[in-house]
Amino acid sequence: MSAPRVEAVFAALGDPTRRQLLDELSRDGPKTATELAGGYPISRQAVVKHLNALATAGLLVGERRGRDVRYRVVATGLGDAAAWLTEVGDRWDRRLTALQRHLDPADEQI
Amino acid sequence: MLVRQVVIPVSPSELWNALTEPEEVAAWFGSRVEWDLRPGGQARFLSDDGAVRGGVVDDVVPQRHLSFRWWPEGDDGSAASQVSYDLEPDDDGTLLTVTEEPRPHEATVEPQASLRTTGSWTGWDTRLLRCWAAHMSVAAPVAAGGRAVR
Repeated sequence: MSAPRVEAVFAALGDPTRRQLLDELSRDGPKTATELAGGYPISRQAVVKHLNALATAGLLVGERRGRDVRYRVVATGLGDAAAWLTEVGDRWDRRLTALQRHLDPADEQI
Repeated sequence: MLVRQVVIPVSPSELWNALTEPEEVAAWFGSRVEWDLRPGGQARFLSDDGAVRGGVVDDVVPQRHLSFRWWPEGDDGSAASQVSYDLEPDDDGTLLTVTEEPRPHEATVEPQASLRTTGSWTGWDTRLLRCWAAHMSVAAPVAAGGRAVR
């Protein structure tokens, strides 16, 4: 798995507005920037900027229909990030269990 | 970013030794480590399964904080990640917070400056990823054997 790509996903998701936009698109299906902008206390321009950041990270695609661009969630970007978290997390779970055992061998719970 | 927290029933100084002394690390980490424990110091990890990782130490505050970056040997820097240990005294011993996040080498991969934010997003990950990637299981936030702290 490509670490830069996972990093880009995490970075893109680091902003609460972008998480909200993704949440909304994943719940309601594709929408245009104008449709989305109504629900946020920021300009349409700012919403477009956030949508572009999400698209750059591979989390959204913009599909042109006539004069409109509708943004749709791409599940694979999130899947890569989830796979990275699972893989690296499993390793730390094993290490921390072993560390606990190493420092407290009397603890029978582990 | 991956976050794990556990309370280990020993003092910060004992835990610091277990996290940093090579003969101690070998007992639990799954790799032997050779490192020069100061900022910029070189590190090398020899996994029990034969894999070798290179690394560099970033920050060292004895008994409180350690961070290092590591990557598979021969990698161009793109698969690097940064690990941090934070230690805090706790009623039952020491609270250890481990984080790991992808952190490509600055030298070889341009950071995506336009996407960086200072906002903290610890904690959103499990909920969000469950929501969108329901078919994948995102691991629980605490290692087996540790006391849940969040």
